Amino acid sequence: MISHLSILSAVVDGHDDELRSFIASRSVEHSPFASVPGTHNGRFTVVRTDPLSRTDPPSLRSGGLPHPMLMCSAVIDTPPAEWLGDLLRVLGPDADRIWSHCAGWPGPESAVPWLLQQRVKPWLTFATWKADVTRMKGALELREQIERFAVSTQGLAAADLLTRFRSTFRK
Amino acid sequence: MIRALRKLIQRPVSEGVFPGDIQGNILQGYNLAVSAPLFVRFGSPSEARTLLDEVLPLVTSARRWNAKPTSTLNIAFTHIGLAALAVPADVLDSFPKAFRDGMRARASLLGDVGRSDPQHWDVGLGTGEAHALFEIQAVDDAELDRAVTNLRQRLTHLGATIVSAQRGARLPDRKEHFGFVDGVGQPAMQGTDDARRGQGQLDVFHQWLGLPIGEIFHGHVDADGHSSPGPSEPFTLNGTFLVWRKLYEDAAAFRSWTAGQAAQLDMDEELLRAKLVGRWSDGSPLALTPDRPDPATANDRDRVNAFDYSDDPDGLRCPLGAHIRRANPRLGLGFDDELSVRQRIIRRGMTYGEALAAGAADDGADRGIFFAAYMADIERQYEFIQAHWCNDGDGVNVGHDPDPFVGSALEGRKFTIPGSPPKFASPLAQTVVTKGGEYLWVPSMQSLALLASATISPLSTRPGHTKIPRKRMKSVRPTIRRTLSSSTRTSPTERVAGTLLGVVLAPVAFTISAIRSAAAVHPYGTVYDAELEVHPDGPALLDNTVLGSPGSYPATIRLSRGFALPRRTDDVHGLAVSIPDAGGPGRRQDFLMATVKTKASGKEASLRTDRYETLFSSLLRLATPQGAVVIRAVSVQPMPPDADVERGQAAGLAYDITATSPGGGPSTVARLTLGNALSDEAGAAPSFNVEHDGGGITTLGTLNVARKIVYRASHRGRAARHRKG
Repeated sequence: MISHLSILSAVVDGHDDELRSFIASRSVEHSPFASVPGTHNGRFTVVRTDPLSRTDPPSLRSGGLPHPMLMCSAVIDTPPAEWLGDLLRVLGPDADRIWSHCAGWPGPESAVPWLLQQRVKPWLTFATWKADVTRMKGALELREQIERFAVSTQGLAAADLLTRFRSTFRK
Repeated sequence: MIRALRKLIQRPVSEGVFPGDIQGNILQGYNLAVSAPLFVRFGSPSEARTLLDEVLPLVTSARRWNAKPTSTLNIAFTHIGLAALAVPADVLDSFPKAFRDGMRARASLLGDVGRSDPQHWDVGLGTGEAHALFEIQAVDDAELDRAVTNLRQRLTHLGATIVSAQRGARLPDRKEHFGFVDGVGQPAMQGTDDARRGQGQLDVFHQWLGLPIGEIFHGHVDADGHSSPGPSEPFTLNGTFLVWRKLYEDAAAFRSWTAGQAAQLDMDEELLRAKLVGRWSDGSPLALTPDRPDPATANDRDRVNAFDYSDDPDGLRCPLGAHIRRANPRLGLGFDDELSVRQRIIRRGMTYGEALAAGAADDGADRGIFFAAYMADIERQYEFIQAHWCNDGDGVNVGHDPDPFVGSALEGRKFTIPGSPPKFASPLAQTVVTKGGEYLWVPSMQSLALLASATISPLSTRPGHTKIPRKRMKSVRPTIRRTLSSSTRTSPTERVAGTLLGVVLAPVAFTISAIRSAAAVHPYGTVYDAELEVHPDGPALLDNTVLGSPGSYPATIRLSRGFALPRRTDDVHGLAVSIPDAGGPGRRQDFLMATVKTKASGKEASLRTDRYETLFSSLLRLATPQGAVVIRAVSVQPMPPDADVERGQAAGLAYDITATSPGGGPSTVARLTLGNALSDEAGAAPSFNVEHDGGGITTLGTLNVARKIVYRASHRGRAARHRKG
């Protein structure tokens, strides 16, 4: 069962730049979400307090938030509590470095109930991909394998191609 | 239905192009022979402003040329260059992040890695030293040298230094160093170009319209129906961004690689090259001529871009990964043009370096292209194209395949030529290397004058549009005296009301035109050659418009009967005027007028009459850069009594064209004289359309919004009838 998880936490005023920088520094090479079982996609977003940029469409420019907010959102196919537990485990000390910028952060030990309290329930979930990250990675690796096979075998006669195909993909 | 309605509501309304306030070489290429892009570092802010003040009169705007100049000058700024001019922080911060970061900081996103890594870039290009680009173009080397020497003296005198001096020269036949004609595919812009298949924006009726001007210039309506965002006041209007890159082309490596791959794939080498590019070397597109180059197509501007890939979804003619298909997928990504219309750019590049002789080995010389592209939003347009369509293949449905020319990390990658079986050119070779570049802002002429002044106020302390001192305005030639006021724009309320009215009337127009197999109103007419003589010293209201630019303009006119009632019955007569090059080559201006009478209230109403020698009026308000105007035509020279207009006997008939501002009296600004009637074939070509506003006079108000929708519905109805046979 695919579901959407959105957790919205108020960031302490003045901490948003530091939090944004920390998250950016941790997501360049390898996203921690990729290591959490059952993840289809996931992201951290620090939401600005100021009205949206003048480069945004006019319809989005009005308003603003009283405090910056940290949104942890994900599309998952495991129960939310289980998924959050796995996320905290994968993040390790980084979990504290992220949510300690948020008001009321109780620390990693009591984090799961605290995070679930701040969950914003979606009205409608749309999953772009039906496979989780592990399966997507497997599919991409298979695509690369097929590409290499296609290039290396172009020009072969049909019988030879069949033989090569079987020997390559029966492994 | 919802989507159709949304597109109708969001249909951009042309706000017009004001050539006098826009720098040149953007909407229309100069096509000059040589260029000298000079990247300049300013001295002190005051010296920089003095420098700008001195060169302002030399800067070339987009105004129509009476004669081609021997040299041109245009100026653009980097973000740090604007800071060096002491532009206030509020204004500096209002520029989009990509521009503020600069090209070097965006290198990884652009795929400038390996040999293209910024650490290998030419001195002064993308190093943070350049404050501005002064680009001179000229007809020949002698004129270029003269202009460069002149500019260098001014620069030196005012404390500026040239951090990178480049020199470009067009190769014969407009080819680049790999042997292909370059710059063939450009967007057709609304109000300036005739829209052709594949070159603009697809409307709800699947007709191609010009691309909204807001896709390139700030402060105008873009393809999403919004005003395109740019920097804050006082620079909100008529600026654009320029992405400038120096791209080295390894001609010897390209020739060697394509020869090797063609042999390996048992394929004609010229065909392989065409598959990589998407066009044959003469510019004819594989989408239209997949088997061989076709010079007739290549030289026919109506056909050379008249394709949209909708009939080649698998890339059997033009591969999905071909360079031109990736850079502009047209309808090839599905969902009509929804996935590609926001990524159009105007390219005005030029080659540099000597051509490598045919068959010659690599001589180690530096040669390539100065890639120059204009757009309203660097991140949404150029960076998206480069990162998602050229460096990555998923966005264009070719997996890992990068663009074979400008894609990133080509080593070990392949190019797929769809077929049964497909062919793979692999491994790719890097034949194009980035040698530097800058993200630049090209200000409007008015903003340029403001930068040269010492008083640019930040938004927080001085809201509203900052006016340029009148003394300084005189130095901007040509210029406009005021920016668009509210009276020269169609308000959002008027737009909504006009759209609703148009949606109500559109089915009626569609039905009538489908039944009649002709336009719903003014279905039949007689087309004549004509000449429009614009008088000097017209009212300031018409500055920067065709009716404010003295001279003689060839025109085409059409006289018609509004409801096509029987010839002896009174009818509302129509006079449509089309001036093909009103705002410069290809920038067409049309006026549609009808016979009117003046009511006791002073307002005009349509008049049914049996005469063409009478008073015609645009009836609805039009907009110039300075304000609203009504255009009228008053017959001044009677025809012979037995002349039959509708049988082509109106030659010599003349009208005085007058312009009237609200509350003001009419001014006679031009004389329109009819020539001979055109043959049926020649007369069938013009399609008079109020959306043609290349001469700087645009439509305005609720009824004009409705009229455009009704006209489109009428056109659609006629097309539907023709298809049905």
